[in-house]
Amino acid sequence: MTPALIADPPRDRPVEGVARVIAVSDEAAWLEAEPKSACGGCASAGHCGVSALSGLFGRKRTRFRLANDFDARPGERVVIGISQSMVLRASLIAYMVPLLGLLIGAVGGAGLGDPGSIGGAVAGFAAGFLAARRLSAGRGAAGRLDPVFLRRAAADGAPGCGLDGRPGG
Amino acid sequence: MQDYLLILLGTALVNNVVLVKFLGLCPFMGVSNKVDTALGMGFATTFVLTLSAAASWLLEHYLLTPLGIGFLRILTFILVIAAVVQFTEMAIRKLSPALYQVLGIFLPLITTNCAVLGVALLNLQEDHAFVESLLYGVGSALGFTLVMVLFAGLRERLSLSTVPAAFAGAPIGFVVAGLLALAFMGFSGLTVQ
Repeated sequence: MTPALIADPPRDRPVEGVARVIAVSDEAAWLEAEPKSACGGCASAGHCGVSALSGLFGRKRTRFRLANDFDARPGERVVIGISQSMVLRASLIAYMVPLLGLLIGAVGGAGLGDPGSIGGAVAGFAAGFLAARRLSAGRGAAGRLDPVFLRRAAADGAPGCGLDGRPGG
Repeated sequence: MQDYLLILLGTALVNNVVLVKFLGLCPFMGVSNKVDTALGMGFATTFVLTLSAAASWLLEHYLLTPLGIGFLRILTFILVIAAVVQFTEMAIRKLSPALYQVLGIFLPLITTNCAVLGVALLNLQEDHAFVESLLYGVGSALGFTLVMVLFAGLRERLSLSTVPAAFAGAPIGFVVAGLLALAFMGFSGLTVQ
C-alpha cells in the first residue's frame, strides 16, 4: 500500500494524521481518527471565539477500514497519510463543482429577475452537488483518497494515551 | 455580462477583502504556513462565503425588510453563517469522509471569519440584486484565496531564508503582509473607460 505514496514526487507529501486501532481481523483493521481542533491549543484559548465555537459544535469521530498488513493491535496509535494532491483535487470537486452549478444557474435565470435567478441558483446548486457526488464517488478518486499506514505513533508524542490505561505508543 | 465580470474583477483585485478592506486577517495569518493548506482553506471559504451571501440576501429581502426587523440583521447573519458552516460540514462528510477528516478542521474557523459577515453586510450596503450579491461573494472569496496562496508561498520561502532574530516568525509575516497590501493598492488605479 505505502509504495505508491513513497514513489510520488517530493512535492506530494502525504497529509498525516493519528488514528487509533479499534478492532482487527486477519485482513482488515478498523481505525478511528483522533479528533483534531483547528484552534484551542494556544494560551488564549480561554477567551477565543474560535475554540469556543469548535467546542460547542464538537467534532464527530470518523471510522475507516484499512488493510491489516502492518500487524495492527487494538488500542495502538498509528500515523496514517493521505496523498496531498488527491486531497486538493477532492476539495476542488467537493467545493467548486456545486458552486459553479449555483453560479451558472443564477446567471442563467437572471433574465427573469430575482425570482428567476434564485430558482436557477437552487436548481444549479442541486445539480452541481449531485455531479460532485458522482465525481467523488468515482472509483479512481475514492481509491486514491483512502488513507494508508505510514508508521506507528511515537510513544513520547502520545500525551493522551494514559486515559485508557495503556502505555503510550 | 460585462457588469458581472467587472464585479468579479473589482472584488477579487481592486477591493480585495483581505488586503484592501482588511477583513479576514485571522485565517490570513493563521492558516497560511503551507500553500496546500491555504488552498484548501480558500476553497472552503469560497463555498461558505458565496452560500452565506445568497442566504443573507434572501433573509434580508424576504424576512427582515418585510417584517421591519432590520435591527436583528447582524444576529441573523451570524446565525446563518454558522448554519451554512454546519451544512458544509455535513455535505463534505457525505461527499468524502477522508476529505472531511483532513480539511474539516478548518470549517469551524470559517464561522468566525469576519470576511464572511463583512461581505454579507457590504452586499446590502451596495444594494445588489441577487445575482450581483452572489458574484460579489464569489469575487471576494476568490480574492481571499488568491491572497492566501500568495502569502503562503511567500511564507514557505521565508521559512527557508535567514531572518534576523527580532523579525523571525510573525513579525516578518506582518511586514510581508503590509508590502502585499501596498502592492494591491496598485489595482485601485484601474478605471473602466
